This record gives sequence, structure tokens and C-alpha cells, in this order.
Amino acid sequence: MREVTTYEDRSQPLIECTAVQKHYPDFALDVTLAVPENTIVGLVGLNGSGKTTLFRLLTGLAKADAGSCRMLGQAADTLPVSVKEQIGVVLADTGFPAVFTPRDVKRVLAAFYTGFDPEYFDALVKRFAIPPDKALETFSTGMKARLRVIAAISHHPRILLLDEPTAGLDVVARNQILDLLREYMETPGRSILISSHIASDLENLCDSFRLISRGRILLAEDMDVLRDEYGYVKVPASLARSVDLKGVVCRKTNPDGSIEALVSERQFYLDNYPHVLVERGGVDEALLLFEGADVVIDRNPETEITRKGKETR
Amino acid sequence: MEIQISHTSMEPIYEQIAAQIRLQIREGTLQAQDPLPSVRGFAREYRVSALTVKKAYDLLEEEGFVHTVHGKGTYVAEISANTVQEELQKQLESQFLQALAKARAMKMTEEEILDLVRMLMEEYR
Amino acid sequence: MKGLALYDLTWLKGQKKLLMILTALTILYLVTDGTMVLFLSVIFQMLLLRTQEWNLRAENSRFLFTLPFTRRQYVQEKYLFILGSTLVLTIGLYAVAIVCQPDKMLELSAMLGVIVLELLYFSAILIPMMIRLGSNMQVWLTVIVVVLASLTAVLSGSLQETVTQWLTVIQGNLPVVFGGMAVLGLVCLAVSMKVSEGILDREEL
Repeated sequence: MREVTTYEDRSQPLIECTAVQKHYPDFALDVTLAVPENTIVGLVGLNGSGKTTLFRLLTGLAKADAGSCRMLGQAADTLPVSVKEQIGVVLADTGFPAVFTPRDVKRVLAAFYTGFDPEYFDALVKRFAIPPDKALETFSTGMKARLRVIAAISHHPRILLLDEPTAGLDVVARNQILDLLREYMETPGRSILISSHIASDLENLCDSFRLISRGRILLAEDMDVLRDEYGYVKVPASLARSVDLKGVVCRKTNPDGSIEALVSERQFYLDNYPHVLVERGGVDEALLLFEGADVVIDRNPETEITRKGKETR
Repeated sequence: MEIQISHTSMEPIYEQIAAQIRLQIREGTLQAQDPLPSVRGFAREYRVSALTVKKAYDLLEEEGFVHTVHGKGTYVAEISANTVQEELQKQLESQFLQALAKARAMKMTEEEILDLVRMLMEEYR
Repeated sequence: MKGLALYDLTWLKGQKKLLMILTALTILYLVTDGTMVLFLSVIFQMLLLRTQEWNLRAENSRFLFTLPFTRRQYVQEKYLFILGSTLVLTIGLYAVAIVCQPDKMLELSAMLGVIVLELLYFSAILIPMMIRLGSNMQVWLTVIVVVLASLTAVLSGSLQETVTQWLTVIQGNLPVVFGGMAVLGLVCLAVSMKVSEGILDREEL
């Protein structure tokens, strides 16, 4: 079994976006990211930060204004059918028509995907207690969400693109889906790009994550580095001048003079500044701080990788 | 393999995993050449990220407790109970050294340090 | 493409309201005036166009377009589906009408010919419009449907006479006239398909 690789692995990434841009009247997307094989990458950001736009670009639903998106090496806006067969997609709030039943879904998917596995589909439908012959319009949000994931996974794709697959679900349903995704990843050669609001989902599933805000990726980091080394630091106004703000990723100065920051070396603060509040960095804290910050240091090493890559080629 | 993982503790998860595997090796629950679960399988079972598991396995490999056969998996190394004990002793020593360095930086005398140690040992009981 | 056809057919099967209205109208038309039954296929075609346009705009189309097919195949299947299902319905209605009123065979056949031609031309014009114009299309379609329905109602009497006259006049050249129009219709369809492909290629979902 192949070992898990970090994002520094340069062998052909399954998903690759190079300075891909998309302009809307109130919004400009500019993203560089790469998802290597055997990796789960999480995409975190507020509503309207560009997550769904990115997924639309990756699936060829929308065309980029500049730059390129590649899936399995092929341009995303003209994906050949053979590549589409190896991709499974869940987009929030969109799926099959309400009059379809899961059995209809199965038949239609079988007609579309040569790699479709009807037994696996049936097994999953049964496992998630989904009634196979009732129309989708009678389903609860949870059941619809589960069926969407089943529909994306039943043809054994190499890549899963999941836009908010667990939105609106209770904790039991969410865990069922996450467990399914972990099982999916046990087969080597696959990758997942998943976006979510729910920090705990991402923290326990993803190998690395990208934080996207107003169309740009501001932070790219391994998940456990975020958990083990990053910290949320609050410096009281009285110490604001004397504290050496080392390893700050983003910073916010409050009206009362205190400073809140996301730092990449919380141990430094724990060791040297006992009066400074230090907490574990999690995805939620990172997002809150980035959105409210007045100073942000661009920590997306993939922009570096792209530039280097262009030179060597 | 039974592992307990705390998501809320400040201790990094990969260290928790590594520590428990080391313990199992020392106690003999894990024998030489026993296979460890696959990275992804472990990740699935304990609901942690695969990268975390890999970090733990890598650390154990560095320390000589396990070895990875490319394409096959990770196995417990040919390691005697003595070597395990030595390794744990080494780690303990380095942790003590770190604590001592801090105490020195705080300008504690040898007496104060020993008093502190005794007090903590009392509490620990 | 097989998947797309199955998708549309499954969707159609689920349109209970549409199918019930059709059945009710069919019976109504058969009872009142058998020959007008074929106009139902025009109504069906318009309704189909309208709902297909809605399907393209609907949120579900986003997921659909991530499935493995090209946009070209999508357009081709749409033409096939709209024309095919309307044609099947038309022939079905024709057969039913003949059975119910075998004496009106000639008029029915003439009407069949007209409807088939209408099918070709209207589809050639309306499908690209549907893809391009989106919800504006609905207004136009509603207008057309209303106009046709009223024309049918108002002129049903005099129309029959005109049809009989036309039949006598064209009777000799009938095959040529019909054949020529049909071929032209197919050519228009082919052009229309190309235009539709171009339009859909530029669409963002």
C-alpha cells in the first residue's frame, strides 16, 4: 500500500489550479492549489468566499478568465468523458430531480458511468437506511445528502470533489459520511477535495487544508501542524508593545489596544509569555481571525511552488 | 490494536499514538514483526487524519521501534525489551534535561529544584 | 448519451400532472372533435420545451453537467428527446383518432403531415431560443400556445373546409411537396443543432 504524501510531493497532482482567476462584479477569485495523490484536502471559508466557484471551475461548469485548472492532467473546462468518469462530485443543494427514486438514480448512473458498481450502491443505500423506491422529494435533508455522496462514490472514482457534503446534517449523519470517505481513501491512488463550514469534520478527516477568503487562499497547512503548533494568542493592551510577535500569520488589533493573533509557534508564547492567553489553533479560530484581521501574511507556499515550477519547465 | 486518543489534550495526537505503541511494544502486546494497521485503516478506525498516523509511524521508525516495507506496510522491528527500555529512558532523560534547563533559566538553586521534585512526587502519588 | 435519454425519460415518467392533463385533453378532444386531437402534440411539444428550458436553469442541472458526457451530446440528446417523444405521441394520437373516427382518415393524415412539419420547423427555431433566452422563452411559448389553442377553437369550423380545399389542390403533388418540406425541415434541424451546440458551449452553470 502506498504511503500518504504531503503537499510537497511533486509527482503529478490529481487536481491542480495554477493562478486560476474568475471575475464577477463583486468578487474576484485568484487561486493556486494542488491536491496530490492519496491526500484529503479541506477547503475552509465563509459563504461567498469562492469555494463553490472553485468547484464549478474544476468541473467545467464555469470557465476561468485566466490561469488553468487541471484534473488528472487535463484542462478542466474541456474535460474528456474518460476523465469525468473518474471524478465523483457533490455540490450543495443540487442533485437528481425530486421525482426520482434511489432506484432511478441507480439506473441512470449505471447508464452514465462504465465503472458504476450497482451492488456497492445497493449496499450503501441499505447501510444508510435509505428507502430505495420512494421519491427524493419525500426525503429529509440528511437522506438527500447521504444519497448525493453515495451517487458520487458508487462508480469508484479517483477524485472526489465535495462541496459542503455535510451541511445541515446532524452529528450522526455527518459521521456516517465521514466514515464512508475514510473507507473510500483506503484504496490507494485517490484524493478528495472537500469544503465545509464544520471545523471538526475537517480537523478529523483532512490531511491538509486551504483557507480561502474573498477569493484568495490565505493559508495552506497540514492539519496536525495547525492543531499541534499553531495557536490563538491574545495579548493584553498593557503588553502589546513588549511582546515579540513571532510567527504571526494574521493579527487583529482591538479598539482597547489588545492584540489577537494566529501564530505558527504557540510553544514560543507558552514558554516566554505567561500572561498571554494561548489556545490551540483550530480551523474555526483561524477562519474567524482571518476574516477580522487587519494584517495578514500570505502563507500559501503553493504560490512559491508554482513560480519555481514555471522556471524549471 | 487498542489505542486511546484524546482530541482535547494539548499533547499532539501523533505523540499520543507513538507513545501508546511504544508502550505496547515494551509490554509485549506487540511482538517483533507484528504488522501495524495501514495508515488509512488506522485513520478510519480512530477518526484521525492519515497524515497524523504517518507522522507517528515515521517517528517510531526513526526511533527504531518499527520499520516500513515499501508497498507492504509497517511492522514492529526486531527489538528486545531492553532496547525499548533504553529508548524510553533516553526520552525521559531528555525531558528531565529540558525541565532542568528551564529551572536554571529561572535561576533556581539545586535545593529548590530537588524540593520541587519531591513536592511533585508527593502529589503524583 | 444513453444516460441522458434515461434521465429525461425517467423525469418524464415522473411528471404525473402533465401526463394526466394530456390524457384528459385527449379524451376531451376525441369526444368533441376527433381531428383536433393531433394539436395536442403541438401543445405537448411546447410544454416539453418549456420544462426542458426550466430543467436547464434549475439547480439540478449543475450536478447533471458534472456527469460524463459532452455538451454536444447533451444538445443532440435534447433534440432527439423532444422530437422523438413528440413524434411518438403524435403517431399514438393519430392511431387512436383513426380507430375512433376511421371516416376522417384523409383529414387526419393531412393533419399528421402538417404536424410533423411543424415539429421539425418549430423545434429548429425554438430549441436554440430556449437554450439562449432562458426564462424569457416562457413568455413567447405561452403566447404561441394560447394563439394556437384559440385559433383551433375559433376557426375549427372554417379550417376544415380550407383543409379539404388544400387537399384537393395539393393532392397530385403531395409526395413531392411533403418530401421537399420534410427534407428542408431536417436541414434546418441540423443547422439548429449546430447553433445550439455553440450556444451551450458558452453557457455557464
